[in-house]
Amino acid sequence: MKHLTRRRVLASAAATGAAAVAGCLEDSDASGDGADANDEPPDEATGGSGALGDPAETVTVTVVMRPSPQFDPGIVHVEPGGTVRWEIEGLRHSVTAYHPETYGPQRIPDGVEPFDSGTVREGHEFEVTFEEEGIYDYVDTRRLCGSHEALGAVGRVVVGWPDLEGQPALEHDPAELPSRGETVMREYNDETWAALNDD
Amino acid sequence: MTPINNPRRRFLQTVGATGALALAGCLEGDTAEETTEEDSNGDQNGNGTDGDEGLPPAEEPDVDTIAADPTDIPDPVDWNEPRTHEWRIQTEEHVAEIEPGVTTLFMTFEGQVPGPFYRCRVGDTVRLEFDVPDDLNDDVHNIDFHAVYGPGGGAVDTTIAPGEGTEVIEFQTKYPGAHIYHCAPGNHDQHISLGMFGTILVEPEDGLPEVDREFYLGQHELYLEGDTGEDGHHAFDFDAAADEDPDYVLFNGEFGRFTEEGEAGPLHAEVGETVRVFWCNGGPNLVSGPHPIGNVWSQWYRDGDVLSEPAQYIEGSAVPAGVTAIGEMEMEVPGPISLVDHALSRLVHKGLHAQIMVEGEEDPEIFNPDP
Repeated sequence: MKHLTRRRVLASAAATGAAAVAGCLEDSDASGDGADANDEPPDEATGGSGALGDPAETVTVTVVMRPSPQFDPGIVHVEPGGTVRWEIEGLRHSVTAYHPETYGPQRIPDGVEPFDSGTVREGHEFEVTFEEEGIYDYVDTRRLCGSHEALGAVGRVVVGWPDLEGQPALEHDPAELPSRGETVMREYNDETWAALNDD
Repeated sequence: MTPINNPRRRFLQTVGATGALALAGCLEGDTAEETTEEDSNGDQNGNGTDGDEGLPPAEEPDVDTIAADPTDIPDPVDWNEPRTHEWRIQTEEHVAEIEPGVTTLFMTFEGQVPGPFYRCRVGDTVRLEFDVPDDLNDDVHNIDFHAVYGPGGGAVDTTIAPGEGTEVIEFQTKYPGAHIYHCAPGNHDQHISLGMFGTILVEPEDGLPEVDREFYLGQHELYLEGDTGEDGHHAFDFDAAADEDPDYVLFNGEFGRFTEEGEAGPLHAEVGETVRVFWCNGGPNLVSGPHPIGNVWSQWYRDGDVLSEPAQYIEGSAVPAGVTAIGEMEMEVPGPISLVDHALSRLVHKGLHAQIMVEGEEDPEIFNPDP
């Protein structure tokens, strides 16, 4: 059995610079009680399921290697101020906002700073807290010969109930993304319009 | 070399429209976390019962990186008469990171993996001064050059315990080729695995064809306690070595260092250039199958043989442990070339990967991604 400490890489996307994060999350091992991070109360305490149309306060996405590199679920929905936690289940990946400062085109709202986990390996975690409504697209930038992006490892976080008009994530043409990155992102666009456009 | 900080355990990013960051407290938290863990293990350590479960914490690295710079290669031979070289080599043991949060105690020639690239001309004489300084070594070391006629390739007469003082040997390079050198102290596999290998190139009388760039990479396996990627300090695992079941297979002692995601980033070349790669397979055990993804070895000097005509347009070959082979590529189009051992589990699972990023003009006649 693997003895892996869950490490967290944290990011908070705040609408204003004043929203400082209070402190690091307690590391489960360091806290000495051996509790798994998944057992922390906030996960189950509040909000919806995190599926599109049912925003949660906190939602977990697993980053898997099999059958192919991908984010599961690919789309999550959180309330403003909500947190998304990515848990790495196989080998090495990244959780990187689509933004010229981090990787690729801008597919996150204007004026927020892009997040980037860097390479995170199995047994480690990455978290982002999203303060501002909008659509945040991200990608696993890991590349061996082909890229995880080209294999379809792209994801989307919907925060709140944003006006879909003017969202960079929806204005950008997915045809610029490679191979299955484009295919999967088009599916996300269809799902997003279907779920959020009727009000 | 300079000390570096603890491996990054986690970092916290606060992102705002104003750009104001609130990072400091949590970066400090990394250190606090480390301390807490050590404290929580303190009693166990004191009672000598640690180690039943998991690994000890990652150790503080002595060096920024253990990896040699692949571009650090002496200039080609430009002399026509035999000459004498005076080389000094010392062994150094260093704690370094394999990847963030994962450390081991490497063994090296001159503090780098692979050891320095040595270059001379057939017929030259080398006067070698060899040292195992006691402030940098706990173990006995020596050096065996595959380019040397003589007992142990020099190993017999360079075997030194730490602090015993230097040994000097002299040898003439009687035959050309790219050759391995390595430590051969009894536990050969341990010392080579942990980094004690490198390449000596003995050029033929007329030299090698001129190329635009040369790179030097050292492939080797690490056999360690614990699992691949497990946080902590990994001691050498002699049983895993005997089973030839490595945790990592790496270039230069570090996980994917010379890739887009790695600490150093990809190597660089330009369209129109000819690039030569010295593929030094230290082993200690596995046969490598070098392949450049997105290119081909247009000239392949099998086993480092520089006298025979090189093979042409080779996709891959078999490079046994303890051999340096030489491949040359033409940079026809821009984009990344991945250097891999085509035993691809070593790429996907065990870290063996380097890239050459080729810059320059596209040539749609050769490759057109979107016709």
